[in-house]
Amino acid sequence: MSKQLDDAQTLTQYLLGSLSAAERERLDELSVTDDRVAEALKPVENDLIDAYVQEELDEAARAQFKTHYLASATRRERVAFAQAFHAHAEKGLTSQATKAQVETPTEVRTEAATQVAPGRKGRGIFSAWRGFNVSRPAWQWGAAFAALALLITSGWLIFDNARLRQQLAQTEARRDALGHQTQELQKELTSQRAASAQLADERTRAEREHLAQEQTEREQQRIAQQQRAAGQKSASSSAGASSIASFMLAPQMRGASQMQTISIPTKSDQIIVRLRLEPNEFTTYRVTLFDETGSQILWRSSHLKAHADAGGKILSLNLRAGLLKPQTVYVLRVTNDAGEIIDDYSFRVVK
Amino acid sequence: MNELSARTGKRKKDWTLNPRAFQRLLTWLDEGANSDGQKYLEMRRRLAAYFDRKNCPMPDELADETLNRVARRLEEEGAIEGDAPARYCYIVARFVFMEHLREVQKDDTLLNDLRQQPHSDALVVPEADDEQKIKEQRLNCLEQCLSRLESVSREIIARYYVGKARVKIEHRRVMAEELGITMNALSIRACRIRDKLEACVRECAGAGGNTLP
Repeated sequence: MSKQLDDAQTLTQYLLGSLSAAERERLDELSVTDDRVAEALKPVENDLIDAYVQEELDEAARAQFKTHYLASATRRERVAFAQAFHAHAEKGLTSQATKAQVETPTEVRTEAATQVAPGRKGRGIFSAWRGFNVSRPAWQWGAAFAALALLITSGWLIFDNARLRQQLAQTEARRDALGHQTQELQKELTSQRAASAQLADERTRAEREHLAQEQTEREQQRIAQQQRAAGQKSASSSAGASSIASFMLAPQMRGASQMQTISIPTKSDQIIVRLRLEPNEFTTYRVTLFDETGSQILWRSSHLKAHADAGGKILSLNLRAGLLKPQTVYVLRVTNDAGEIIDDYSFRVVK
Repeated sequence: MNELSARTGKRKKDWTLNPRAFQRLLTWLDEGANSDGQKYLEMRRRLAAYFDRKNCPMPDELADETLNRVARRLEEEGAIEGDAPARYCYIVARFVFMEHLREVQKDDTLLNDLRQQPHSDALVVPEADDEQKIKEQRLNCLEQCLSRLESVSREIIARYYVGKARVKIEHRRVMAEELGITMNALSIRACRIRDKLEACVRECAGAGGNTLP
């Protein structure tokens, strides 16, 4: 006999007395005999009463509610009970709103009110029962503590960040200063090394020149002795014998004031000039005799090879004595095979 | 025959529900299972609601009358065959209602008053001062009864009826999920709490502030 459970809308119509007589009779029976219908009727009735009290019913339903549902004293009592809830809810919301004035923004409260009963003046019939929810203050305190903890943590992090940034800046400044200092020291070291190298070069050159000078002087003394010896020999065997003068010339020293002088005996026919070369990697040379101006070539040698002694390399030249005029300055230029000037030898001739 | 009928009618009216008949009625309503009288209470509630929907002025009395008749039948005949207990109770209730209607129709003036009585928005048309006092008393009783509810029950009834339309349905769905029950079960639970509250308020308002039953 039990039929399928009618939906809430049908039951609502049944409660409002809007169904046909046959349908009404059927539901009368089911309300007593069918457990599911009997169970469903109560919540539907409660929702209907709430809808009436909250003014959610349309005009037709509201009219039917008044004429049919409110015809019973028992049902009027139920509506009165629902209205008491509504009044209590209004009172509860007012006090709750006052408490939550500081915490809740206006927009949230308005939104909550609208959500509960949009378009209505008041609130939902039981919406104030949030005040009976004992966990709400706990939520608020918990949120407050959480916010405070977050604030403290944020403050500490900001402070620590600033401190670390300052340390970093200081470290970078120190590093830059050290780097600059290192560069300065390196520059100084490099310049000092360069100066030391230069000094070493100059000392070596001076020593070599001094040594060459000594060699030249010894050579000249030797030649002079030989000349004296030769001069004595030529005096004893006078007719037809040639006279050779020999000189040693050192490389032109630093400073133009020094000018070597060779004294050619009047009777000399040949002059042997020995040129002390500065250290070089060449093996063959050419020598050219210029006048004082350096523009006129008076004599040029063939390819010559130097011979070595304790002081270094020496080139020997044979010149005709008649080439050289007294009280005249000449220049002997030594070049390599490629024509590159190795050194110049200036000398003055005296007879 | 008329005398016999009259004697039978008198015997029926004189019959009262005794403990043995009442126990037999409980057992019959339980249909073998022992409900500790819950089936009886539920049936009485349904019958009272039925009579109330029929706009009967005293639905509880008519419900009692119905169940008394069922109990008497059980005692006289030992058993009721053919119909399930709930259906048989409904059939008897219909007869009771019809009899009630016949009695009411005897007084045309009263019936016309019942049918034509209008009802405004505010339930009845009260005298302002009395109605205000009644409302205040009802509110006070409500506060008392609410404070005596368990916190869980208070929470349920507070949240169950919050909002309207879809918002209300959503609240209920969330609640059902939180409690781990179906929405139907939640609905039944909320109804029972509300019934309890209503009964408490009714008793409080009638007796001047009694405690929750």
